[in-house]
Amino acid sequence: MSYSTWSASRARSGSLTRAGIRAGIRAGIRAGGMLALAGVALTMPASEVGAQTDYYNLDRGRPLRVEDALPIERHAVEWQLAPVRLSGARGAGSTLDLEPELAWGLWPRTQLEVGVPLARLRREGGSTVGGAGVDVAVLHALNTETTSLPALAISARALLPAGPFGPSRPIPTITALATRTFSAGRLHLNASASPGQYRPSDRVDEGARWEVGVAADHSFVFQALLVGADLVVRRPLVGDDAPEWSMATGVRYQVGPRLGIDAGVGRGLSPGDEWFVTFGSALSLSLLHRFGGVR
Amino acid sequence: MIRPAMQLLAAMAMVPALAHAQWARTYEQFYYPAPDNWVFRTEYPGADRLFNAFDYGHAILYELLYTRPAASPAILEETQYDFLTTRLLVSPPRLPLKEMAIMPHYTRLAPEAKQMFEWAHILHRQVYDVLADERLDDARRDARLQELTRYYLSRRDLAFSTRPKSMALMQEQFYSLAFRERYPKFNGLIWGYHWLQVGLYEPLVAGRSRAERQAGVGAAVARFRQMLTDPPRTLPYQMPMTTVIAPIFAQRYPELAIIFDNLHSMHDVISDILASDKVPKGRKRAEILLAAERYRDDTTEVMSVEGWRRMSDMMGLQNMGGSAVGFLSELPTPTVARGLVMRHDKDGNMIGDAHEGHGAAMPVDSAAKDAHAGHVMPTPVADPHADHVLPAAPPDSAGALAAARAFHAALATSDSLGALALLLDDAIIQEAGRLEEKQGYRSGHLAADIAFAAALPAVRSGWKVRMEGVTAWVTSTSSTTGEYRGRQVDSIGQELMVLRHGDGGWRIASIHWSSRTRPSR
Repeated sequence: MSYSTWSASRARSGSLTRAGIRAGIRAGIRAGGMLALAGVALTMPASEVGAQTDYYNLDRGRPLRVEDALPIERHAVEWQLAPVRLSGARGAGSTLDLEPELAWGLWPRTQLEVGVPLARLRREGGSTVGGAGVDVAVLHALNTETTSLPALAISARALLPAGPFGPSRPIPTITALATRTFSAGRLHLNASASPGQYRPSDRVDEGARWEVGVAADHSFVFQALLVGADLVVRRPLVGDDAPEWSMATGVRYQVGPRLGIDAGVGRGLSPGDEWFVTFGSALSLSLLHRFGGVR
Repeated sequence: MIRPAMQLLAAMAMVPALAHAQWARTYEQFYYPAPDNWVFRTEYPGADRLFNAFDYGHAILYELLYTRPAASPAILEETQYDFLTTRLLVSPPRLPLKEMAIMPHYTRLAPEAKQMFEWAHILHRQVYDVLADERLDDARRDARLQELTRYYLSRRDLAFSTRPKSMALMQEQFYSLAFRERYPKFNGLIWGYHWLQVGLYEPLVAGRSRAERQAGVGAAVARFRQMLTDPPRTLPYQMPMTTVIAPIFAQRYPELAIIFDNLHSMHDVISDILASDKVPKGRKRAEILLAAERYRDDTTEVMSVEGWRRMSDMMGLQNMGGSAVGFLSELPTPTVARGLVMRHDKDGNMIGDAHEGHGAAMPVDSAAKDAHAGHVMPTPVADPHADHVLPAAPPDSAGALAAARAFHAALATSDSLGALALLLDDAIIQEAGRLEEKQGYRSGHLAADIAFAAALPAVRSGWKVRMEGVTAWVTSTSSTTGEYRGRQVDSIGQELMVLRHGDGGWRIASIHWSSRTRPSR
């Protein structure tokens, strides 16, 4: 799940100041810390074991907007504890987004994700906090990467209306994903489209009529660290503006067997475009025993 | 831009049909969650970290064998070996490694086999966790391990068989021994890894208190490091077998011990397939998948559990690195040459024609010889490949014909084991002016025959069978047309097989092939 470029138009409606950025960062740290503590408190009693190499599995928006074609393991549950995204644009206010999200390896090669994005818009006149929709997605890997084929996956997602910053009508999106692995690293390609006609009153700033992204990453396996960068071009759902280009770079790091963190920065490639900073953490666990274990 | 995206989606939907041969759909599955998860990591951090380093050793081995088959052996035997033993094993990574990032080409070649290993390695680690959890009493520990085993076996597409497999799968294929011949030091290191991986179970099971278990694990790790002091002399000379290295564990949890032995055996098989130039690059995936299937099923080359124990004993504890508990300060003295191949029947009895391995022969200290040294007097036994022989039936021409056809079918499907099983031990094969006995054929021309038969299936006709008592003469003609290794083939051939009927049914005593280019039409 991502806010990758969603907040840009929200941010542009206010003004960006250093104090605003600092306040946003402070708020992000506070909110992220609280979510992290809550997550740890909720999951510790279960004592589950997790994906020790989760740093290698790119999640959309953490920190890159482009995702790999690999779902999480079957029976795994990954809780993204505090994916914080602070964004803004010159002459606009800052936006702090938070999206607690749960991903579940429901079936072989298939994961279900549910996210509840929250946003805080900061403008000169004050700030507003509210929900930004409910995000539901299913990612299904078609295959495993082989000598002749990259890993291929498809994803279907819908951003459902909820909260003051959510869309007024659902936004469905279909995405094709591909990942190819080389000795030096991996290449990823995402191409998505959101069918339908939308009006400005639909509050669909977050959506894109189409979006294409390419990313590359490299893993430092002994350090459990991944660095990557992406380049994304998209056309918003509403309006006939030229496609927006943006790029980002970031790292993912495996702190322990169950906990991974990530951080990234990015910006649009046109003058005055949005910039953003992200930070997140993910905890891997399993709910298998909650359902009676294996039969 | 929507159109290109939709076109991409449509193209992705068509991919399976376009590239069926390379379509793989194996998938990862999460550990079985339990309170004992990560206990071994907490209780025995030094040993746990070593296993992370082992991940790298296995991964870089396969990647280099596959991507640089013609490279100097020194890359593995010196450069990588030195990196592993002087750096990585000294300061191992804190977390398990993402093997895909180390061996992308091998993983892409055979993701199914890679996933089999990963699934078994997860089991390995979870068994350590259970055995290291001081909160569990014996009964709960046994129950947890049963639960884990059940979870492991629930992935039939990945799980190794719980039936012991004959060493013939590992040592008597047409590609066998290629790795140990070319890379004796690295082969010894891998066997050293496997020694510790199964050996650590023993102090965890045998220790009567936490202090004893801690001391036992520490001693086993120290023993492993001792094996690295003068390679390859100090490394194991035979594949460490769980029932010998960790006998208490294997007695108590035979299913787990068998799974791990099958896992380690297949490790060696894949090393051989990747290292062998008898397996063309284009055939490596097929051979790996075939081997993987044989290690998963419960029928191919199966031994009795007692036979597996007997065989392991005969291979010799001292040849496998020695005991994992209660050992002396000196490493045991091997009693056989490094990499010696010992053949056994399905009951674990040794068959006579064990042949020398390919390392420098170790002078055998007669004082060190014992009944387990692998020099037991051969006993008259059935052929270890008897599983592949057609069911015994009264001699009849249909049975002889079926055996002859089964031999060709085995060649065409790259079933080297099946083909060899149809040959009598004293069988001879005559072709292209050469005569080969079965052993020579196995390590010689068999690979080429399989490659040719798989690439260019012959059309066979004119089958004739003549019988006299328990002997049958089967003749046929063949026609082969197509392109093979860049040259056009258009030939006709004659074949004569002589078969003998015995307890195992019809089997081939001799084959004579003669072919020529088809005359211009």
